[in-house]
Amino acid sequence: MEQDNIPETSQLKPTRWYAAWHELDPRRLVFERNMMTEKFPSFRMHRLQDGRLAWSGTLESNRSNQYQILLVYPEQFPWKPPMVYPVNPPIRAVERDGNKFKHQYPDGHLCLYFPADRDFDVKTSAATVVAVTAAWFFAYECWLDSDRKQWPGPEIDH
Amino acid sequence: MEAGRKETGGILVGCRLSLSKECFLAVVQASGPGKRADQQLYTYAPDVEALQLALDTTYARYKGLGVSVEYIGEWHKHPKGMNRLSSGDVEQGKAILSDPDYKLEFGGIILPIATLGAKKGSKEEKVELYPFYMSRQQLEPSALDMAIWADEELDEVLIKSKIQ
Repeated sequence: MEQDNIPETSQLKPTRWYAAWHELDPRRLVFERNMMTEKFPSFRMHRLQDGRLAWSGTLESNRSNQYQILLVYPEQFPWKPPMVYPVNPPIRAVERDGNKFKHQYPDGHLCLYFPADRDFDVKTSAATVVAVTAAWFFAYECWLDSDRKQWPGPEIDH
Repeated sequence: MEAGRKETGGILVGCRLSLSKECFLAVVQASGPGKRADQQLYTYAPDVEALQLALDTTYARYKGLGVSVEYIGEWHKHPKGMNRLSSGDVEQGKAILSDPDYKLEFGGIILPIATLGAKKGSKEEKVELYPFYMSRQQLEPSALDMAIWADEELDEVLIKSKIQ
């Protein structure tokens, strides 16, 4: 008779142990809150379902258009920059040929920093990222005005 | 110590030990992370195949001595100053406790946090351990007391107690 092959020991599964950036460095969280409260007092902090911290709020462009955004701190913050998602209106910055995103990633978050530029460093706060986002919306509106032909300012093809 | 600023860890193998009406959790082996572990500044994922091998090898060795040992938890390192489990660690602990493939004879796991750092005015870095316990009955972690025994002394006590 064939004997059941029951393992004698526990069968271990892949695990991941991690600490969120704000648990590792609570002072940084205070700094982030202070900077956002000072520079963008209408923004509110949230905890997303997956535990990540985020800010939501609305920016207004020079053309008086309003953009509601969600800024999400990655688990790797501050080694990686926060991601900014346009919420309302939803934005799909697709080039004229319809195949390529213009300074936007396929999941919708904006391309604000090109890693090779090293513009973002570990001391950069969410408040700075929101300010860069405002500049992104200015460039986006100029690009729309140019019939999606010209993005103002320096850019890297990617 | 070799991991430097990166996170590291491993499994704990051991058993329950009753001595003088007191209950202890005896750790006979603490593994390393394994060669293929993903070790970063803020997160760590062990090499599960290496950990399974460490568990099975220790199990076989103690079985030969007439002592039954099993997986009883995992340790990992945190940056100096963070001597508690993170919310992510607690979630990982809960996932282990809810997985029937972990035998967990006494229904719980030990999750020690190791920190490495030098005291003010000293250049000598020192490892400190902060053990926590989570169980299926009590998912909130609680701190444990800890005592360190010599390997031979602990083995002798375990063999005498004939834990099977």
